[in-house]
Amino acid sequence: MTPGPSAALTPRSGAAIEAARRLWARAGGAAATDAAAPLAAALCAQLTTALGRWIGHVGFVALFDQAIGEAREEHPALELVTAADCNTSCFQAVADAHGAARLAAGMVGLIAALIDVLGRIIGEDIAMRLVEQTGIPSSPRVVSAEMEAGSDAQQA
Amino acid sequence: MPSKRNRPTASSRMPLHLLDTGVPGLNEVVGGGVPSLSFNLIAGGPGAGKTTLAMQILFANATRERPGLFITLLGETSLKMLRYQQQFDFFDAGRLGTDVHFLNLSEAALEGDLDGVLAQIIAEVDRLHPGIVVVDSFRSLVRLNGPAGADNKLEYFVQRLALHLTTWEVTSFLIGEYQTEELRNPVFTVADGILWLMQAVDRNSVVRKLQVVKMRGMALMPGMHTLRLDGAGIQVFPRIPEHPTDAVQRGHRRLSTGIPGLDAMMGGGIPSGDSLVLAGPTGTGKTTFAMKFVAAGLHEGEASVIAIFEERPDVYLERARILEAGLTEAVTAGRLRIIYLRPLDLSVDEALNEIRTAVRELGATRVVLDSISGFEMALAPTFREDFRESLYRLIGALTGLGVTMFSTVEVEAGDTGLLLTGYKVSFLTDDIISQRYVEIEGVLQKALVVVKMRGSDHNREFRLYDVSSAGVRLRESLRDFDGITTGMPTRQPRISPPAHPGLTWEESMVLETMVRGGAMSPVELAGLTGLAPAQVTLTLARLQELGYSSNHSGDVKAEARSRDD
Repeated sequence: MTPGPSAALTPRSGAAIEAARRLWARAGGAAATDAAAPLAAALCAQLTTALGRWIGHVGFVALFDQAIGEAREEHPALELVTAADCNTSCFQAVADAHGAARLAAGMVGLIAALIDVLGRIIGEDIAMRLVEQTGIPSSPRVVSAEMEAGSDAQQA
Repeated sequence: MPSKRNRPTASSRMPLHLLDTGVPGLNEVVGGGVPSLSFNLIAGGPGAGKTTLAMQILFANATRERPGLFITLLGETSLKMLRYQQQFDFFDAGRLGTDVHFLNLSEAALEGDLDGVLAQIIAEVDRLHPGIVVVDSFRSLVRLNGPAGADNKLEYFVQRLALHLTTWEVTSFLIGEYQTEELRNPVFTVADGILWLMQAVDRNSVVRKLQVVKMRGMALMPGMHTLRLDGAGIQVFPRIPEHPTDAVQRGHRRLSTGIPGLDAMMGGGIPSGDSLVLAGPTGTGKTTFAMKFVAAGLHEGEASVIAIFEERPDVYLERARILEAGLTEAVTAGRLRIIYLRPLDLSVDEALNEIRTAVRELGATRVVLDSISGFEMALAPTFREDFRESLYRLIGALTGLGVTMFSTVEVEAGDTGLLLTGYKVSFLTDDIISQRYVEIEGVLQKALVVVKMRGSDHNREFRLYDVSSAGVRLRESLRDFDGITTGMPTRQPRISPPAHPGLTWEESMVLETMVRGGAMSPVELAGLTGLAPAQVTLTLARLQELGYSSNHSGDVKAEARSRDD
């Protein structure tokens, strides 16, 4: 899926990335690299339920597909991921092919893209609020440190 | 039939807890608020403001403990709803997910599974324990099921939903697109309250209206009420009652017009609580008279409200500054409010609301409407049709508050008669002053006459007057002229004896003023008659010499004396 016309013009916001990191850390993704795939699948399921309640399942799938397309620009590892096939085996295939760190970084990129896509329709504040309500984020400072470690690993 | 003994008494009846709707004006219309646990319909055509009204009520009543739940079936999609509703001031994004929740059931609704929809609503209500629930839009459910038996299915669905929501102590609002002719739909019998919204389109003007068709247990305000939708959300303007009920003592004192001599012509001024109309052609100084009326009130410590429709407030105040009326200073001091109403889609009820609010906030006793002609132009076309009736209600509502109204109206200069026919407003007013142009010896001059003073004696002579930067100066009477109302009077010296034989016109006026007003100082007399103090002194000296008046410790008063003396 190709990104929407506004994606190239809208750089991912720092707030969206921070919120995505918090959410991924809250899901346990920052610490447990071996279990990244099931954690990613669980987080997607949580997002589907939580956001689906607000905007409907069909609406969520449309948004998530758009977000995946935009996140792939920075995270090619997400090539195998689709909104309709967001399960553990899909994410495990990503981890096997690109490594757990790249899956983790891809997940953060995907959630940030979801916030961006949603934010372009309803505003970033409300979008972040809705996405973050899928779980209670941990301290941003801790999460940032954790994610920086993950990012280093990815670059290595 | 229950025995009399078992009937609930007023003290034993369970009081209805009322929810503040959070919509300005709506509580007044529904009789104080929406009863808690009631099951209500918000119906109307597209674009009437149904969703916004429901959302505003939801945000006003949602709390963390008893949140608000907005359920979308097949109306506006949730994303669009969030996108657009957040533009309103009442929408607090910080409360989303805590006080206010959204639930999208469009997929179940699209499948036409009413049982499934109901089950999901029940599950979500059970989970969140909301205090208020909105379902938008339930009507579309039936359309998906096809026409056969559609209303029956919906009625059954609505009845079950109502039962569940009431059991869970939820106040609910169902939004549905219905047209007025569908009011007999059985679904409406289930509802405790029905709020009907509509849009009236007339030429380029669109006016939104609300009618509370029913609200069980409440003494609602009947009729169609205008509503305005702007950045703050919805505001309802309750229809002005036909017969104001406020019992206000009227006429117990006289208010000065601020124009020397005019008060004397009116028998001492404008009776308090009266509605006065000043009618005249363009350029006759109507606004100056109105400013003087306000300035006189300010001088007496009375606050005022001026509603203007043609000039901007800054321009209006600049004119007042030239007159040294002190209006700008009064605005700054919070003793005068100038309301500029010129949206061209105004309703009379909106205008009244603005004026009434200002009157209450300032404690104003004088209100100027400048002008009735401009007011009519500012109204949406649909309201112009019943302008006179609306104006009647407006004036009645304001004088019912105890204020004294001073309205100006522009009439055609070419008319003969008293120039009052343009708006046929005489039935609206207690007092009427008519202005006109007259040609006297080749000079165009201004004249006025007090046409009507309800329940009060007044001077019936035409008098010339001048308007200048110094204000209004009343001049001589035109009692020696005939045909004034034609605009081209002819001089006809009177051969009939004057009211007070041997007295000049000025002496008669001073005497009449003393007869009506009792003892007063020469300064007061000058103010009431419009005569210069020196002239008053000379006049009083002659009246005393003739035995018409006496002087007591500086005050003068009329002495009883028959015409035959």
